[in-house]
Amino acid sequence: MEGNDAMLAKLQDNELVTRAQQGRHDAFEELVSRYAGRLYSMGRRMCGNDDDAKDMLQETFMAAFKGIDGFRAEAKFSVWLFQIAKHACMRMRRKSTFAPRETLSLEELVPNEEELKTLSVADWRRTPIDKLLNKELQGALDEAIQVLPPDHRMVLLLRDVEGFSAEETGQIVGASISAVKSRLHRARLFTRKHLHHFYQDQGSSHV
Amino acid sequence: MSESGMKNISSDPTCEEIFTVLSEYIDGELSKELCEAIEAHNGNCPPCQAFVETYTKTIELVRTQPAEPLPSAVKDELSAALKRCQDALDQTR
Ligand SMILES: [Zn+2]
Repeated sequence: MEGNDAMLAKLQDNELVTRAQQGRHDAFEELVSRYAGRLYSMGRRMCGNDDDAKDMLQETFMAAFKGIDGFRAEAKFSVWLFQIAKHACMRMRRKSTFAPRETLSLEELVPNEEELKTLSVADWRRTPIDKLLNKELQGALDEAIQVLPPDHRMVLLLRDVEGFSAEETGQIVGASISAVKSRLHRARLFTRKHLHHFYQDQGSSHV
Repeated sequence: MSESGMKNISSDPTCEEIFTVLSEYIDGELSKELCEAIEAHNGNCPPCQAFVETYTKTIELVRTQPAEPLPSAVKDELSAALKRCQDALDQTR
């Protein structure tokens, strides 16, 4: 059946959905292999632990499998799937004791002039991203994302990690485009602030 | 752009005005005129320049998050769960 798998791998998401709707389990499995990694990564960041992420992943694909007949051809499969995942994440969160902060005030996030004076921009701005992204910075970034309020975290992950548009993100989280943009801006500001000390005095530490 | 909450900022923006539109600026959603006004401001305002650059760098870092492979145990459990779903469905057909 190798030839069949290779053929499925060439199909667009919606072509696979059509086959899955006709009862072709192999077409659904191809969709699973396309999205499982991305959903699991998002689940780990949204749920805060591996076990809940695993449950969220299973719940999402089982719901997608059972609901695939209701998928409309004019929709985008990835948006539909992430909508299901978002609901699964919310159910997980209710069960979880993990409680990040719930609000982000802009005043807190915008730096004052004193702080901006201390940034030694010229030094790190020429540093390629892979050099800059050492273990310490990666750890700080993970932490920043983890402590974001869930609504903001979800928007940041969908927009900047998953690459969904503002409109698609709004469809997934059930919010207006302007709400998505506002959350995204705050989430980015928060993350920037959290990484602030990496932007100061990078000097020789990243060579 | 009106429904996207596009802000009206002046042709000679203040530092605060720039902070409010940074996200749209980075995402390429502002008019050419506004972008030029922001760049002109930043040329004369090192704090804003530093802010825009650290903000941009942060987004780049978030966007370049390495994709982690799905652990094989997680993959196996997922396959088993789906298999049960499929078998249950096939029995009803
Ligand atoms: Zn300024």
